[in-house]
Amino acid sequence: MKFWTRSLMIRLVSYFLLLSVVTVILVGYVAYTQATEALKLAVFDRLSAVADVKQGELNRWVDDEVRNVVLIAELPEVRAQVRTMAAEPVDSLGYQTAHGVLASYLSALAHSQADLQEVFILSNVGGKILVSTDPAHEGQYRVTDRYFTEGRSGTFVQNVYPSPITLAPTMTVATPLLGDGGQRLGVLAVDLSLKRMDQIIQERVGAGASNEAYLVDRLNVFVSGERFGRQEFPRGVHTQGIDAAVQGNDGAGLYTNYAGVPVLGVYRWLPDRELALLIEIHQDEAFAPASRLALTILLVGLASAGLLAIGVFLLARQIARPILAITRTATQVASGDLTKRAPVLTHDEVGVLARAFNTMTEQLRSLYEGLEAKVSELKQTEEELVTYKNSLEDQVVERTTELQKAKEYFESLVQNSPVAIVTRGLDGTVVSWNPAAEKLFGYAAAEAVGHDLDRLVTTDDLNAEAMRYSEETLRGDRIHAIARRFRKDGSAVDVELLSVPVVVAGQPVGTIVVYHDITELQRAREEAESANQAKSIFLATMSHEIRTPMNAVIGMSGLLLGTDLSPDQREYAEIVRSSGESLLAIINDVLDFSKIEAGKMDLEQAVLDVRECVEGSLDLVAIKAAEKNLDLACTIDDGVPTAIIGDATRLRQVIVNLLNNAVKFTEQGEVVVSVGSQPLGDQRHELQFAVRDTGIGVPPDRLDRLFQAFSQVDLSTSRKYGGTGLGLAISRRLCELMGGRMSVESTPNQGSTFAFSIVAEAATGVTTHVEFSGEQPQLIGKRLLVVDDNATNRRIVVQHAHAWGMLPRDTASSTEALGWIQRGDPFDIAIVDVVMPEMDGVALAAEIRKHRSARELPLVMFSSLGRRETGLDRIEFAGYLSKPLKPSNLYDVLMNILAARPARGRMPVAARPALDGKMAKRLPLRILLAEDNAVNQKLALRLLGQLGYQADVAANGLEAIGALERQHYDVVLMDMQMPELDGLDATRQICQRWPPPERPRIIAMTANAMQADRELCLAAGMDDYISKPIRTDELIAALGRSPVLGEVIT
Amino acid sequence: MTEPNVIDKGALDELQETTGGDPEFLAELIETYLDDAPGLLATMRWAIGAANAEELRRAAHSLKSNSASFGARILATRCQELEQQAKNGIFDGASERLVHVETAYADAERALRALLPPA
Repeated sequence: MKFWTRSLMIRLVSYFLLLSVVTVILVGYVAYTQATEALKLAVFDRLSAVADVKQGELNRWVDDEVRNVVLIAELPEVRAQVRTMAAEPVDSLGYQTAHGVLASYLSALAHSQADLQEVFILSNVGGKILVSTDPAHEGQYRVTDRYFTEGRSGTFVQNVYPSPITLAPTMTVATPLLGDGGQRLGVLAVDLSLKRMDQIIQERVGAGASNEAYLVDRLNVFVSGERFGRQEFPRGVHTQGIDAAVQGNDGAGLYTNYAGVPVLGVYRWLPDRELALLIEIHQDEAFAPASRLALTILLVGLASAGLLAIGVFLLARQIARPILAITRTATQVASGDLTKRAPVLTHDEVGVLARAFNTMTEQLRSLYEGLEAKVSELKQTEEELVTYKNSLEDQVVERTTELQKAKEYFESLVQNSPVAIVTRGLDGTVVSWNPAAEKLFGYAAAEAVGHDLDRLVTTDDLNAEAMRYSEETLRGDRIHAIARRFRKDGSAVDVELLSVPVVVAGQPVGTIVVYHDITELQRAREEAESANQAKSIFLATMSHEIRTPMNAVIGMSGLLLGTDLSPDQREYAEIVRSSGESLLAIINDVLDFSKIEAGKMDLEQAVLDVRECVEGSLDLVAIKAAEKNLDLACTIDDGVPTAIIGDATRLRQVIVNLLNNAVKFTEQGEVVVSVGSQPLGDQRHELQFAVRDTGIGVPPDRLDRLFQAFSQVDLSTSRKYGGTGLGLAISRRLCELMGGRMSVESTPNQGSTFAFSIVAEAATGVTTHVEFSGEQPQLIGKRLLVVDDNATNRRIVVQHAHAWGMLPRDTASSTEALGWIQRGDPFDIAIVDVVMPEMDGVALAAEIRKHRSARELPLVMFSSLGRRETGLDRIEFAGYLSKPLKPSNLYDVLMNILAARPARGRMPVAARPALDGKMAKRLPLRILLAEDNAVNQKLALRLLGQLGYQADVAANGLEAIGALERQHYDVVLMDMQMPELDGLDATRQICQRWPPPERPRIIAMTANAMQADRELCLAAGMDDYISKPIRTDELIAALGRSPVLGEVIT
Repeated sequence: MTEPNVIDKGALDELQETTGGDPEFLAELIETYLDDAPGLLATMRWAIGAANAEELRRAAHSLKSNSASFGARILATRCQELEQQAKNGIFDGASERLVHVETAYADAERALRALLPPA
């Protein structure tokens, strides 16, 4: 049963089979029934027909026999004989002869006709059998027989009756024998052979093995009993059919026959014969066709069902297979293999199921994998933990033994320690007191233990402090202090004490105090401190003391030189001054050196502008360099931060030192400073400086001695070149203090490069001057000609010009430059170096002027400072640049010249707005001018006057604020550089004191065109700016932007 | 007779236009400048002697901007260097520089005086 419920296929097939079988059976049954019915009727018809026929045949036979008998009876011979017999006595011859004739005649008759069982003649009187074919019967009297009685009168058929003699069924036909006169002579009787009757019945009953026809008399006895065995039916045979027929019914039916066999029987009562005729056919045989049909149906049906079942089975299997495949896969998956996928064998619902299954399995798999990973991680962690635990356990064992050893060790340490170690309980009493403590304080251990420590070693006034220490320690603080304690004998001892709480298992249990006798040390320290202090005082004082008179000497000699002096006096004064300066330089060096050596050199940490520092340094050697015709230049890489945090003075000191050396030891050529930088991350940079010269160089064997103090390359150089010999030593140490290094490379007679680095933080958010980064609108596309024999200078100028968007062309040769000019090459401006080998700048300028006028090609002279250029009379130079070249200067000069001349060919003088004398009426502003410079004051007032304004004047920031206090102004024209309180500070104060509605509009007058400076102004609170020298259009525009605030009641 | 190389004519012209083209006013300005300048030079001299960077700077700055207004470019440039030096608190070589400034001023003064109407 379980098997059945678990297999869909089996169920399907079973149900189907069941259904088919049931159907088939049903059909078979119905067919069988129907066929049986039909057959029954048919058989009945047939049998009826046969019965009819048989009835007829029977009757016909009987009739024939009757006729026979009648014939015979009417035969004259017969009659004659009979007459004879009747007339003559029995024993007469005639009688005997007649008897014999009749006997033979009758027997011949009987023989010729088998149907006649016995033929006999009966006497009329008494019915005595006179003659018979069965001689045994002669002489018997049959007077009671019906045939006789009836037969005397007429032909009579006595239907089957039991013979009184034999008791066997007999049928007799009798007819009277009549004489000529019609007298009854006798009766002729014939016993008919019932066999024959039976035969007749049985003949040709019809096809069919079981067909049976028989006759039964009214006493339910078979007519031809031998056939059936009389003994079997002692009371007569009774069957449904026989009974019915014997009762006189005709009919047909299905019943059991005499032999107990179910038959189809047709029964008929033959009234003429007083017999029942039954024709029966076994049901089996009769219905055999139906059975066959049913069987056929059954067989065919079952066969078909079987086939169909197979078909269904196959179909079911076809359906089941994919499902089974999925099932198998599911089983595999269930048993752990998540990589298995169900085969998608079909496109139908099962296929969809397979796909869905696969999807689900896939998801399961990835989920499972994830989980597995987690699990293995966890396992791993677990393992690690176990390993760790094991190692910990091992360690614990180790430690314990170590601890034990340590304990013993420390105990001995304490005992043997040269340092006094005292342990105290929580209440401050001494718990242990080591030998060193005994020695230090003079108390033996027995005297100390159990006493309060502070009481033992301090006096009353120190007690408080000591108690405080004790408390703090107990609270958990460590005390490290220097204090004074007292011995047992009262003498004082300076100690360094370390007091530490002792904590066991989280609970403080006491303290441990360690004393170190530092009396000696204290003394030494005090001495050192005072020595140090003396040194500092010395340095500071000396610094000041020495410099002051030196400055005086120098200053005074300078002043002296400014007066009228005779040539001799001038010479002497010069010597005094220069000696003074040299001496000051030496003193500075010595002091610096000592400071550094004493470690007292402090470096400032302030914002310093790298370019300004370098350029400032160059300025200081510019004059000397110019005197020696050396070219000075500086290049600063793009990556170098604009500003850094450092000591500008010291950095400059280093650079100037190197520059001085370079200029000193170079007779011709150039000295170039270059600055690069390497970011170190986190805003820190390593700035790399190099001073390269084309001087006499340093021999390789002397290189290492360069940086040593007081060494010169050789004595001859010191004599020739002077110097303290400290410069490089100081510079190098300064570099090192600034986080860098200094080094030198040199080739004798070619030149040297001194390089140093410093480490500094870039100063963010500070732009002390604009970077000129990128193209400058007024310079874009302007063509620049640069003529300078020094490649470095050319390179610098060209680089900047490029960056600003100009189109520079440079050459070292004046001739080449002239060639270009003569050729007609276009230029907007030219920078010409003055000192050049082939043709100096002045000469070149003169030549250029032959081809281009000053308006067409403005010239900028590039010269060394301090030189008086001769021959400049006839040349108009639009600008001057001096060496060393500073980009800011270059920028200013270019802008001045080019920005004021918008394009070539046009008249450079721009149309100026007509001075509107009525402006003040239209825009009645109250103006305050804050300017200290007399010339500028006059200029500004004049301009304002031309516009109709009467402005008030303040000579510095303080006066300006005072003026504002007194009355209200709409506009303050604020100069930036003023004594007492400069423009920025004054602005800030004004902004603080007066809120916006009451505050005047502050317009800065600044000579700096730099964006950064302008931003500075705006940041301080200025509202606007105009440049100096004052331009009319700018002033008008700025005033135009100013609102008239009107009187404000304050 | 002017020395056009010392005084930038262009700057002078501008100045004239700015001031409305009044030669009298221009003369007044020049006078003022020439009056002021020696004082500034003296201040600078003293400042160098006293090592007073602030005074030196301011004086140099003033002389510079004034000189520039009148087109005395060389003088202006030299003043600027001195100013720069002073800004950085450096006095080395300052006296020498000052000498050059004075020389340049002498040239400029001559040139400007030549522009004044004969007094």
